[in-house]
Amino acid sequence: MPDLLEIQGLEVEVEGKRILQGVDLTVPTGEVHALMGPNGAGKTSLGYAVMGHPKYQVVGGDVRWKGESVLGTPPEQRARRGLFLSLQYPTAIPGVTTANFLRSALKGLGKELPARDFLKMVREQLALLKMDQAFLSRYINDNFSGGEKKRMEIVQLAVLRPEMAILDETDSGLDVDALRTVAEGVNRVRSSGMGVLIITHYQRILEYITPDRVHVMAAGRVIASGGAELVSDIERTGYDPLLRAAGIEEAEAAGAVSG
Amino acid sequence: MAELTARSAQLGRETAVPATLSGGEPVAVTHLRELALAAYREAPWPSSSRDEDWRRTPQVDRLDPASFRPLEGPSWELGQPPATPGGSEGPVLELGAALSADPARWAPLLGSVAPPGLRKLVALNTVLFHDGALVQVPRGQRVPAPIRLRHRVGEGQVAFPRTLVVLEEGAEATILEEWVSEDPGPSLMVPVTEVILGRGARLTHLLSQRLGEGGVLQSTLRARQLDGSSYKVGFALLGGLWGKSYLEVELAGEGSEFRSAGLCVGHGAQHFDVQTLQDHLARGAVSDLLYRAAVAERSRSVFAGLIRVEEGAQKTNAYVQNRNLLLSPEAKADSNPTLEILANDVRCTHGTAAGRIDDEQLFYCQSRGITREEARRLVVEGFFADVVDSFPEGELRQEAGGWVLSALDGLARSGALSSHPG
Ligand SMILES: Nc1ncnc2c1ncn2[C@@H]1O[C@H](COP(=O)(O)OP(=O)(O)OP(=O)(O)O)[C@@H](O)[C@H]1O
Ligand SMILES: [Mg+2]
Repeated sequence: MPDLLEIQGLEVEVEGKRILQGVDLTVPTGEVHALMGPNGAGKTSLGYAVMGHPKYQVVGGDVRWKGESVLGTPPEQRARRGLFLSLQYPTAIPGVTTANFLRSALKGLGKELPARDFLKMVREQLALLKMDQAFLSRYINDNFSGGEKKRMEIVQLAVLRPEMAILDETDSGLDVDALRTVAEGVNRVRSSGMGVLIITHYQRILEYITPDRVHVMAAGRVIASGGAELVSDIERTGYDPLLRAAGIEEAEAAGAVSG
Repeated sequence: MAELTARSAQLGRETAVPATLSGGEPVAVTHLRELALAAYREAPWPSSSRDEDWRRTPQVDRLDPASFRPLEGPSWELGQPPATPGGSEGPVLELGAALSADPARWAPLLGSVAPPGLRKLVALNTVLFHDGALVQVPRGQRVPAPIRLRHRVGEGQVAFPRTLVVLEEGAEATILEEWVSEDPGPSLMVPVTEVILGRGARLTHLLSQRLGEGGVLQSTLRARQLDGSSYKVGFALLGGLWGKSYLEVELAGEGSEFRSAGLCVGHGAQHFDVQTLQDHLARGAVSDLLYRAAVAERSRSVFAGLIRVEEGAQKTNAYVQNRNLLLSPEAKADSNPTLEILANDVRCTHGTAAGRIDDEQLFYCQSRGITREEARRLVVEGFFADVVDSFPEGELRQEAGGWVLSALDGLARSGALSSHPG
């Protein structure tokens, strides 16, 4: 059986500027992988490119989902196949209520529910993420606090039930209790066998959601991969030793190398 | 019939043969028509090169009322009859019957807010309306259910709906006025609605234009508000080929309040021109107007909103805002909110913005499984949310939401939501 997500030699440009320099990364079905790396390494760009953001032009390599390339397909099609990306900075859409947004998403995914079941499910998930029911009729992410946006991403994850979630710094900006709530939320969905690629700067979330593998990105590529122990190494020594081993100058690690 | 034909023959840009009210016409109305006819003959036809009001709407240069047949039947009908407070006759009367029964009371009010000299097309309406609706709510009474007035026009016809709304002191009502046609062919509608709100009266007034493809609207809604009255106007311009709508409110009484929210959805070659006036004549009045236009394909929105604060109108609070969403590279929106302030202790602001759909919003929707086209539709629907939410909760808000949705269906069908990537 092919792996769930295979990223092979992925090269990506934004407005003519090279950002990913050949990323290799594979997440087999049901596994949790962590992706770490200094600011500007290209982690968010990788998530966008995998999800099919039109600004992130793939100029080399491949993204394969269950053995099949997804390049050239629009984001909604990737979502329909089972991919989900939780954004580092979730977008607000004024005037579109959370309920309406989620209903449209479920419809797009072909998972439409009768109105009553739909409301019941969303209400349940809001409660599990310790969010007020009033969020149902608020405009999605509009004037939400940073932490509320992150929790809403997990509410969506739970409602939409993808086969794999890329979580881009979903733990950033959360207080200790919210972090646990969010981690538990992810774990509940994961129990049904969902794969996870969790982008983070912190060890903490990985204590709740234990990764099978850890990857480190710098300067637009993966420079190290290992087991969970890699996380505590980084926590202790920072990225320096890994960067030196990869022959990357510090200035280069943060911020992309121009192609 | 012979009379109508004669009228039709002489209806033109220079002159017209006055109509008479069905059911008899009081002398006072005949007199008003004479004034109106004189005003009509005197005023030149609006011109996009000469008149500031029409600078961006050159369609008027080619408009000729002579190319339409005057509507013969009633120009208005009532929706489900509202429950009647007090008087057994109900709040809505045929204008002609009311004028004949009590000319001393109603004749002085007709044309008192929108006099024939106001504009050429107001004069034309005043010369030619042959019936009309009078909405009157006596002192202190409240009409519980919305009053629904529907004005229709058919293919090749011109209609001159005339509506007079009088709410006495402390009276309350909600009116929905619809301008509609089922036929796609050319038609012209020239409605004039006058509103008089007594002290502390409260009126919610909703207007919906859903003319057929070839429809042209030339509307005037003008209101006068006395002390402490509240006037809420919600409007939706959705159909027709092109049109110009005036919305003018005189805040003539201290502490009166006017709030309005409106929207338009354009596609194809549609052209919507909206001109508003918040005229502050008295102290301590509040006015707030928001207009949102979404234009697709080659359609165009033109907005001019004036806040005028007269010398004595201290402590005025006035706000006018226009937001435009451009859905194609060819669509255009002109926006011109202006302030004319003669008092010194006031708070007045205006705002305008034009933008396109945000790519990040589209990506966010798409990443959750929503197609690009559906995402665009969702974002446009969201753009109108505060306007729709300003309609009174319940059936009317639902109806307004429904108009927006069917307008967006129209956009989707014509491909206006899918044709422009990025
Ligand atoms: N849309 C864009 N336009 C221009 N530059 C971009 C864009 N997106 C990313 N970049 C650049 O690409 C590089 C990688 O950015 P990216 O957001 O992927 O980093 P990251 O690893 O997620 O960083 P952080 O940990 O700070 O979130 C940065 O130099 C960034 O400035
Ligand atoms: Mg990032």
